[in-house]
Amino acid sequence: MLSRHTFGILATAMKINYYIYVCVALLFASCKNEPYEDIPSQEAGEFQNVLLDFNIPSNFPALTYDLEANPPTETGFELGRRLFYEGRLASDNVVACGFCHIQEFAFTHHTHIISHGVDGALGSRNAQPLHNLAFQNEFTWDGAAIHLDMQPIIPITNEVEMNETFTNVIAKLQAHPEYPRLFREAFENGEINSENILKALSQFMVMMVTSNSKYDKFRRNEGNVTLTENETQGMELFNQKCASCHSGELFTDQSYRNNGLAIDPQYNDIGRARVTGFPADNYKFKVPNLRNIEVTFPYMHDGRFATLDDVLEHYRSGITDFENLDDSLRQADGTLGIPMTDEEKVRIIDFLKTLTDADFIFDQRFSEF
Amino acid sequence: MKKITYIFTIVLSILTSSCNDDSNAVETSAVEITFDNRISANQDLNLGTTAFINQNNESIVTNELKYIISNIRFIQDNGTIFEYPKEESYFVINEADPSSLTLNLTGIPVGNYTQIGFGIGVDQSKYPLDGGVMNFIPKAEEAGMLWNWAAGYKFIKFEGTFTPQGGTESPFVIHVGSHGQTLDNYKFITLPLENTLNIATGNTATVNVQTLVQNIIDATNQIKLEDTSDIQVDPVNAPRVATNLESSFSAQ
Repeated sequence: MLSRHTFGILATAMKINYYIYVCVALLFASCKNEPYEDIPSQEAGEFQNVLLDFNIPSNFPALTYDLEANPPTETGFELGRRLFYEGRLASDNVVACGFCHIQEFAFTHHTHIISHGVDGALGSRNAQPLHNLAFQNEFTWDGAAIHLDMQPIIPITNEVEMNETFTNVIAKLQAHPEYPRLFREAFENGEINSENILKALSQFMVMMVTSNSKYDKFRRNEGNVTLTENETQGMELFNQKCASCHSGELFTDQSYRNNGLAIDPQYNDIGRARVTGFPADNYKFKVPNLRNIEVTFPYMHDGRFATLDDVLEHYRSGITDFENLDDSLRQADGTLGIPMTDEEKVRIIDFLKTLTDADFIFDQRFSEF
Repeated sequence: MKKITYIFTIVLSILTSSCNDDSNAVETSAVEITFDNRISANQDLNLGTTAFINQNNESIVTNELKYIISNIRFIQDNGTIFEYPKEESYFVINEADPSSLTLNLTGIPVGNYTQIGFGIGVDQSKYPLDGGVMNFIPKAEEAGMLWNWAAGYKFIKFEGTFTPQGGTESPFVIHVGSHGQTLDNYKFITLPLENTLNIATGNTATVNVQTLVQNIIDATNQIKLEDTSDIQVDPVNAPRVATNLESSFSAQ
């Protein structure tokens, strides 16, 4: 154990060079109980601790994810990418994470109102975009996962999603011609177990940072990027009417709120209350971040709105009253909704489109092939 | 050259210390902990048959009883605490599976122990999560102790039937875990050992933990199943059950 640990520290501390190889060779020679020592290293796969750079964009808040506890490495990230697009994580060997989280649509399920699982099973919620996850404190529409490393348990095991057991996933990956090597390259203990599966997926997902939209470049004063007059007006309107919930550079305050959507009797999805059990949390859902919102349609937890205009129209005229309706949707005179003119709606949408980040959506690092 | 010399010095110093674990190792031995789910001191629990009467005069038959035990530790008479390696310290106790009722622990330092401690459920609140929390997933999943709509464990699963006095028999379901970050129902308890546990080389010591089933719903808090027979993600009654669990165990 100690020798492998030492390798990790040395490799992390300084660029791998010839002298370290010599030292490592010495270390391996020193303990006769090292596993795999008789297997040629190319076949066996060796742990490679080449860390990836994680740069927090200058306009972003602090990280939530503890990178030191699971530092993304080249091989860990690559394993995570493979697993993200791996159908074997599902009972039908087809429905991978990437089935409902499609990169071109900021990892949402394009045009699908609710997401589809194995054997044509239908879920009850719209797949959320995957980006800037390293800055989120809870996951899914109701916060049913309190740590990114644990989140994939839900889609992998849920019968209307991937409907598989971890026992089966581990067995399938162990029997695969490449995964044993990929796990050995990615993790010091080289094991195919649930911890390493989840950590590899997290290494892949935390690297998915979207921070190069027109808005970001404007914020950071990069390359003289300026917003048009319409976009600037839209940003001002957004700050007045939307930013109390869609706040900060993540465009969400990460709270759960009832935004006045009429109850869909088909699902009667109680939202946050399913996790907390508190009736006061009924029909509350997490305030979604708005980055890449132009491509993540349809909208809302159940995908009921096809366009951004529909969404803004809901906030203007479609609010259903609830006892726990969010205060921001109740005006001083008692009327419901957020007043805005037709032109103001168009300007807000002009601004929202500046949040689209083509660098991210077409980033080869995150694509299946 | 200085750098090379430096690296070699470090490596050599590690080499001299890396492979001599046996020479100065603490002597250790094994412990067998048996969980004994009981109706009372005199009556064993039998699934589907034995009944007890709670303080609300309801007659209760248990059909399923499972709970998670984690983070086991042993405390010596001199106050020294030995924490069993967290990675290997997660277990499902399942009344229906006799093999699950006995935990075989090895590598416990020899000594005289007067207390044993363990968690009921999984400590999901500590960040970052230790590997044990994540590697316990397949085992918990097989035992049905994992939710699939939330990323978390069921700490206890207690199901059966209850019959109020003069009433008719109805089913009850109690599944308690933590509710996201809003409600943490994980409990850690420390139990005095009735007899000092002497762990010595060459033999396996035994600890018998008795679990009084009735206390789960009838201890600090008395739960009337006629009023609430389905306790799942229940922010009022789940913490009451969790509190009761703290006084459901005793150790010999």
